[in-house]
Amino acid sequence: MIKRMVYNPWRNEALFIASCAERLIKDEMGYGTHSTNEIIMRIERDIADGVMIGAGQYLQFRLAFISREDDRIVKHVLHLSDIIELKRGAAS
Amino acid sequence: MNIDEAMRLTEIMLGLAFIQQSVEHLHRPNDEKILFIPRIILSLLLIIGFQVAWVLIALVGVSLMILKRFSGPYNGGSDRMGLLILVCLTLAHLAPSHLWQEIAFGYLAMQLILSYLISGWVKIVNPAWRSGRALQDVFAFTTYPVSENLRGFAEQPKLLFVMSWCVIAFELLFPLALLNTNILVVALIIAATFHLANAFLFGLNRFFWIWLTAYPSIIWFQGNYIP
Repeated sequence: MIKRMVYNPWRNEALFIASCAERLIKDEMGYGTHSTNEIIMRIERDIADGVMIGAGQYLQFRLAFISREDDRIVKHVLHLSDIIELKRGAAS
Repeated sequence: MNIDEAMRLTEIMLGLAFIQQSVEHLHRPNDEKILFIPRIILSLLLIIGFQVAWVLIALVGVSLMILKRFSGPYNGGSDRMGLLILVCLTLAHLAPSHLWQEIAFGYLAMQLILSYLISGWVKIVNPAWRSGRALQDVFAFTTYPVSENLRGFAEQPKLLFVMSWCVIAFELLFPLALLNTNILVVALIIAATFHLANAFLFGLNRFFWIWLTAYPSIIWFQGNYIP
Protein backbone atom coordinates (compact mmCIF):
# COMPACT_ATOMS: atom_id res chain seq x y z
CA MET A 1 0.00 0.00 0.00
CA ILE A 2 2.88 2.36 0.81
CA LYS A 3 4.49 1.55 -2.55
CA ARG A 4 1.26 2.40 -4.34
CA MET A 5 1.40 5.89 -2.83
CA VAL A 6 4.32 6.66 -5.11
CA TYR A 7 3.92 4.08 -7.88
CA ASN A 8 0.49 3.00 -9.03
CA PRO A 9 0.59 3.06 -12.85
CA TRP A 10 -2.05 0.41 -13.46
CA ARG A 11 -4.65 2.21 -11.35
CA ASN A 12 -3.93 5.54 -13.02
CA GLU A 13 -4.13 3.91 -16.42
CA ALA A 14 -7.49 2.43 -15.44
CA LEU A 15 -8.68 5.94 -14.56
CA PHE A 16 -7.44 7.19 -17.93
CA ILE A 17 -9.32 4.41 -19.73
CA ALA A 18 -12.46 5.37 -17.77
CA SER A 19 -11.94 8.96 -19.01
CA CYS A 20 -11.56 7.64 -22.56
CA ALA A 21 -14.81 5.70 -22.17
CA GLU A 22 -16.63 8.82 -20.97
CA ARG A 23 -15.15 10.92 -23.79
CA LEU A 24 -16.17 8.26 -26.30
CA ILE A 25 -19.77 8.26 -25.11
CA LYS A 26 -19.98 12.05 -25.10
CA ASP A 27 -17.75 12.23 -28.18
CA GLU A 28 -16.28 15.35 -26.63
CA MET A 29 -14.78 17.60 -29.29
CA GLY A 30 -14.60 14.71 -31.71
CA TYR A 31 -12.17 12.72 -29.55
CA GLY A 32 -13.98 9.43 -30.24
CA THR A 33 -11.30 8.06 -32.56
CA HIS A 34 -8.49 8.95 -30.16
CA SER A 35 -10.32 7.33 -27.23
CA THR A 36 -11.08 4.19 -29.27
CA ASN A 37 -7.43 3.89 -30.30
CA GLU A 38 -6.23 4.32 -26.69
CA ILE A 39 -8.58 1.60 -25.45
CA ILE A 40 -7.75 -0.81 -28.29
CA MET A 41 -4.00 -0.26 -27.84
CA ARG A 42 -4.27 -1.25 -24.19
CA ILE A 43 -6.46 -4.29 -24.85
CA GLU A 44 -3.97 -5.49 -27.49
CA ARG A 45 -1.10 -4.96 -25.07
CA ASP A 46 -2.88 -6.84 -22.28
CA ILE A 47 -3.63 -9.76 -24.61
CA ALA A 48 0.00 -9.80 -25.77
CA ASP A 49 1.18 -9.73 -22.15
CA GLY A 50 -1.24 -12.49 -21.13
CA VAL A 51 -3.08 -10.21 -18.72
CA MET A 52 -6.21 -10.64 -20.84
CA ILE A 53 -7.09 -13.90 -22.60
CA GLY A 54 -7.93 -13.59 -26.28
CA ALA A 55 -7.74 -16.59 -28.60
CA GLY A 56 -9.38 -15.13 -31.70
CA GLN A 57 -8.11 -12.99 -34.55
CA TYR A 58 -10.50 -10.12 -34.12
CA LEU A 59 -11.22 -7.66 -31.36
CA GLN A 60 -14.33 -5.81 -30.31
CA PHE A 61 -14.99 -4.02 -27.02
CA ARG A 62 -18.12 -2.71 -25.42
CA LEU A 63 -18.62 0.01 -22.84
CA ALA A 64 -21.06 -0.84 -20.06
CA PHE A 65 -22.12 1.84 -17.59
CA ILE A 66 -23.67 1.06 -14.21
CA SER A 67 -26.06 3.54 -12.66
CA ARG A 68 -28.74 3.72 -10.02
CA GLU A 69 -32.35 4.24 -11.09
CA ASP A 70 -34.49 4.65 -7.96
CA ASP A 71 -33.53 1.60 -5.89
CA ARG A 72 -32.37 -0.52 -8.79
CA ILE A 73 -28.86 -0.88 -10.14
CA VAL A 74 -28.98 -0.95 -13.92
CA LYS A 75 -26.29 -1.66 -16.49
CA HIS A 76 -26.45 -0.07 -19.92
CA VAL A 77 -24.18 -1.02 -22.80
CA LEU A 78 -23.75 2.35 -24.47
CA HIS A 79 -21.08 1.58 -27.01
CA LEU A 80 -20.01 -1.36 -29.13
CA SER A 81 -16.81 -0.83 -31.07
CA ASP A 82 -16.19 -1.85 -34.64
CA ILE A 83 -14.64 -5.28 -35.15
CA ILE A 84 -10.97 -4.91 -35.90
CA GLU A 85 -8.19 -7.36 -36.67
CA LEU A 86 -6.11 -8.12 -33.61
CA LYS A 87 -2.48 -7.01 -33.86
CA ARG A 88 -0.80 -9.49 -31.57
CA GLY A 89 2.17 -8.07 -29.74
CA ALA A 90 2.03 -4.81 -31.67
CA ALA A 91 1.24 -2.67 -28.67
CA SER A 92 3.32 -4.39 -26.03
CA MET B 1 6.68 32.26 5.26
CA ASN B 2 7.49 34.94 2.67
CA ILE B 3 6.64 34.57 -1.01
CA ASP B 4 10.16 33.53 -2.03
CA GLU B 5 10.22 30.72 0.52
CA ALA B 6 6.69 29.61 -0.40
CA MET B 7 7.51 29.58 -4.13
CA ARG B 8 10.76 27.65 -3.60
CA LEU B 9 8.96 25.06 -1.47
CA THR B 10 6.23 24.78 -4.13
CA GLU B 11 8.87 24.31 -6.85
CA ILE B 12 10.54 21.48 -4.93
CA MET B 13 7.22 19.76 -4.17
CA LEU B 14 6.04 20.21 -7.78
CA GLY B 15 9.28 18.70 -9.08
CA LEU B 16 8.83 15.68 -6.81
CA ALA B 17 5.16 15.30 -7.78
CA PHE B 18 5.99 15.49 -11.50
CA ILE B 19 8.73 12.87 -11.08
CA GLN B 20 6.29 10.60 -9.24
CA GLN B 21 3.75 10.96 -12.08
CA SER B 22 6.31 10.60 -14.85
CA VAL B 23 7.94 7.44 -13.51
CA GLU B 24 4.55 5.72 -13.80
CA HIS B 25 4.78 6.18 -17.59
CA LEU B 26 8.25 4.76 -18.11
CA HIS B 27 7.08 1.20 -18.83
CA ARG B 28 4.71 2.53 -21.48
CA PRO B 29 5.22 2.75 -25.28
CA ASN B 30 8.08 4.86 -26.58
CA ASP B 31 5.90 7.83 -27.50
CA GLU B 32 5.14 8.28 -23.80
CA LYS B 33 8.77 7.87 -22.71
CA ILE B 34 9.79 10.62 -25.14
CA LEU B 35 7.55 13.00 -23.22
CA PHE B 36 8.11 11.84 -19.67
CA ILE B 37 11.90 11.34 -19.57
CA PRO B 38 12.51 15.04 -20.39
CA ARG B 39 9.88 15.91 -17.80
CA ILE B 40 11.84 13.97 -15.15
CA ILE B 41 15.08 15.74 -16.10
CA LEU B 42 13.41 19.17 -16.01
CA SER B 43 11.79 18.34 -12.65
CA LEU B 44 15.21 17.46 -11.20
CA LEU B 45 16.54 20.81 -12.42
CA LEU B 46 13.54 22.51 -10.83
CA ILE B 47 14.20 20.79 -7.50
CA ILE B 48 17.84 21.91 -7.39
CA GLY B 49 16.82 25.41 -8.45
CA PHE B 50 18.78 25.56 -11.71
CA GLN B 51 17.56 28.34 -14.08
CA VAL B 52 14.11 28.04 -12.54
CA ALA B 53 12.25 30.41 -14.89
CA TRP B 54 13.54 28.68 -18.04
CA VAL B 55 12.92 25.24 -16.57
CA LEU B 56 9.35 26.21 -15.71
CA ILE B 57 8.76 27.48 -19.27
CA ALA B 58 10.15 24.21 -20.65
CA LEU B 59 7.90 22.23 -18.29
CA VAL B 60 4.89 24.19 -19.55
CA GLY B 61 5.89 23.23 -23.10
CA VAL B 62 6.23 19.54 -22.18
CA SER B 63 2.91 19.67 -20.33
CA LEU B 64 1.18 21.03 -23.45
CA MET B 65 2.65 18.17 -25.48
CA ILE B 66 1.41 15.69 -22.87
CA LEU B 67 -2.06 17.23 -23.07
CA LYS B 68 -1.97 16.82 -26.86
CA ARG B 69 -0.74 13.20 -26.60
CA PHE B 70 -3.67 12.17 -24.39
CA SER B 71 -6.19 14.61 -25.94
CA GLY B 72 -6.64 16.16 -22.51
CA PRO B 73 -5.50 15.44 -18.97
CA TYR B 74 -4.27 11.86 -18.40
CA ASN B 75 -5.38 11.83 -14.79
CA GLY B 76 -8.26 14.32 -14.67
CA GLY B 77 -8.24 16.66 -11.69
CA SER B 78 -4.73 15.90 -10.49
CA ASP B 79 -3.23 16.80 -13.88
CA ARG B 80 -5.31 19.96 -13.98
CA MET B 81 -4.06 20.98 -10.55
CA GLY B 82 -0.48 20.19 -11.59
CA LEU B 83 -0.85 22.39 -14.65
CA LEU B 84 -2.42 25.18 -12.60
CA ILE B 85 0.47 25.15 -10.09
CA LEU B 86 3.00 25.08 -12.93
CA VAL B 87 1.40 28.01 -14.77
CA CYS B 88 1.03 30.10 -11.59
CA LEU B 89 4.67 29.50 -10.66
CA THR B 90 5.81 30.35 -14.19
CA LEU B 91 3.80 33.57 -14.26
CA ALA B 92 5.07 34.48 -10.78
CA HIS B 93 8.65 34.11 -12.05
CA LEU B 94 7.98 36.10 -15.21
CA ALA B 95 5.99 38.81 -13.43
CA PRO B 96 7.26 42.34 -14.17
CA SER B 97 6.79 43.51 -10.56
CA HIS B 98 6.43 42.14 -7.04
CA LEU B 99 2.71 42.98 -7.10
CA TRP B 100 2.12 40.86 -10.21
CA GLN B 101 4.19 38.08 -8.68
CA GLU B 102 1.90 38.09 -5.63
CA ILE B 103 -1.19 38.15 -7.87
CA ALA B 104 0.03 35.11 -9.85
CA PHE B 105 0.95 33.10 -6.75
CA GLY B 106 -2.11 34.32 -4.82
CA TYR B 107 -4.30 33.09 -7.68
CA LEU B 108 -3.07 29.57 -6.88
CA ALA B 109 -4.12 30.00 -3.24
CA MET B 110 -7.57 31.19 -4.39
CA GLN B 111 -7.96 28.20 -6.71
CA LEU B 112 -7.01 25.84 -3.89
CA ILE B 113 -9.74 27.32 -1.68
CA LEU B 114 -12.24 27.06 -4.55
CA SER B 115 -11.25 23.44 -5.22
CA TYR B 116 -12.65 22.50 -1.80
CA LEU B 117 -15.53 24.99 -1.72
CA ILE B 118 -16.92 24.11 -5.16
CA SER B 119 -16.48 20.42 -4.46
CA GLY B 120 -18.58 20.85 -1.30
CA TRP B 121 -21.20 22.87 -3.20
CA VAL B 122 -21.52 20.24 -5.93
CA LYS B 123 -22.12 17.64 -3.22
CA ILE B 124 -24.65 19.59 -1.16
CA VAL B 125 -26.89 20.29 -4.16
CA ASN B 126 -26.84 16.59 -5.06
CA PRO B 127 -29.60 14.60 -3.25
CA ALA B 128 -27.51 11.41 -3.51
CA TRP B 129 -24.73 13.03 -1.49
CA ARG B 130 -27.12 14.54 1.05
CA SER B 131 -28.64 11.11 1.73
CA GLY B 132 -25.28 9.32 1.85
CA ARG B 133 -26.22 7.17 -1.14
CA ALA B 134 -23.45 8.54 -3.36
CA LEU B 135 -20.82 7.32 -0.90
CA GLN B 136 -22.65 3.99 -0.60
CA ASP B 137 -22.39 3.59 -4.37
CA VAL B 138 -18.71 4.48 -4.30
CA PHE B 139 -18.01 1.58 -1.96
CA ALA B 140 -20.50 -0.74 -3.69
CA PHE B 141 -19.21 -0.32 -7.27
CA THR B 142 -15.52 0.37 -6.88
CA THR B 143 -13.21 -1.94 -8.77
CA TYR B 144 -10.06 -0.95 -6.88
CA PRO B 145 -8.67 -4.01 -5.03
CA VAL B 146 -8.16 -2.31 -1.66
CA SER B 147 -11.65 -0.91 -1.49
CA GLU B 148 -13.18 -4.19 -2.67
CA ASN B 149 -12.30 -5.42 0.82
CA LEU B 150 -14.32 -2.52 2.21
CA ARG B 151 -17.52 -3.23 0.32
CA GLY B 152 -19.16 -3.91 3.70
CA PHE B 153 -19.24 -0.15 4.23
CA ALA B 154 -21.91 0.02 1.53
CA GLU B 155 -24.21 -1.82 3.96
CA GLN B 156 -23.77 0.84 6.65
CA PRO B 157 -25.97 3.72 5.42
CA LYS B 158 -26.00 5.59 8.75
CA LEU B 159 -22.23 5.68 8.95
CA LEU B 160 -21.94 6.79 5.33
CA PHE B 161 -24.61 9.44 5.89
CA VAL B 162 -22.50 10.92 8.70
CA MET B 163 -19.31 10.60 6.64
CA SER B 164 -20.97 12.33 3.66
CA TRP B 165 -22.03 15.29 5.77
CA CYS B 166 -18.60 15.51 7.41
CA VAL B 167 -17.00 15.79 3.96
CA ILE B 168 -19.61 18.31 2.75
CA ALA B 169 -19.31 20.45 5.90
CA PHE B 170 -15.52 20.42 5.83
CA GLU B 171 -15.34 21.42 2.16
CA LEU B 172 -17.92 24.20 2.49
CA LEU B 173 -16.34 25.60 5.66
CA PHE B 174 -12.77 25.35 4.39
CA PRO B 175 -12.53 29.06 3.35
CA LEU B 176 -13.18 30.06 6.98
CA ALA B 177 -9.86 28.44 7.90
CA LEU B 178 -8.20 31.49 6.34
CA LEU B 179 -9.26 33.53 9.36
CA ASN B 180 -6.61 32.05 11.65
CA THR B 181 -3.21 30.46 11.06
CA ASN B 182 -3.72 27.66 13.58
CA ILE B 183 -7.14 26.80 12.18
CA LEU B 184 -5.66 26.78 8.67
CA VAL B 185 -2.92 24.36 9.71
CA VAL B 186 -5.50 22.03 11.29
CA ALA B 187 -7.73 22.29 8.19
CA LEU B 188 -4.81 21.45 5.90
CA ILE B 189 -3.89 18.44 8.05
CA ILE B 190 -7.50 17.22 7.85
CA ALA B 191 -7.58 17.83 4.08
CA ALA B 192 -4.27 16.02 3.59
CA THR B 193 -5.60 13.08 5.63
CA PHE B 194 -8.67 13.04 3.39
CA HIS B 195 -6.48 12.89 0.26
CA LEU B 196 -4.34 10.21 1.92
CA ALA B 197 -7.42 8.08 2.63
CA ASN B 198 -8.52 8.46 -1.00
CA ALA B 199 -5.06 7.37 -2.11
CA PHE B 200 -5.08 4.29 0.11
CA LEU B 201 -8.71 3.29 -0.48
CA PHE B 202 -9.22 4.24 -4.13
CA GLY B 203 -5.72 4.47 -5.58
CA LEU B 204 -5.85 8.23 -6.16
CA ASN B 205 -2.19 8.69 -5.25
CA ARG B 206 -1.50 11.56 -7.64
CA PHE B 207 -4.16 13.75 -6.02
CA PHE B 208 -2.45 13.46 -2.64
CA TRP B 209 0.96 14.68 -3.82
CA ILE B 210 -0.26 17.44 -6.13
CA TRP B 211 -2.80 18.95 -3.73
CA LEU B 212 -0.16 19.10 -0.99
CA THR B 213 2.05 20.96 -3.45
CA ALA B 214 -0.43 23.85 -3.50
CA TYR B 215 -0.49 24.18 0.31
CA PRO B 216 2.52 26.55 0.66
CA SER B 217 0.64 29.13 -1.46
CA ILE B 218 -2.31 29.25 0.93
CA ILE B 219 -0.07 29.31 4.01
CA TRP B 220 1.81 32.27 2.51
CA PHE B 221 -1.45 33.96 1.47
CA GLN B 222 -3.02 33.62 4.90
CA GLY B 223 0.10 34.80 6.71
CA ASN B 224 0.50 37.87 4.52
CA TYR B 225 -3.01 39.03 3.70
CA ILE B 226 -5.24 38.00 6.58
CA PRO B 227 -4.71 40.17 9.67
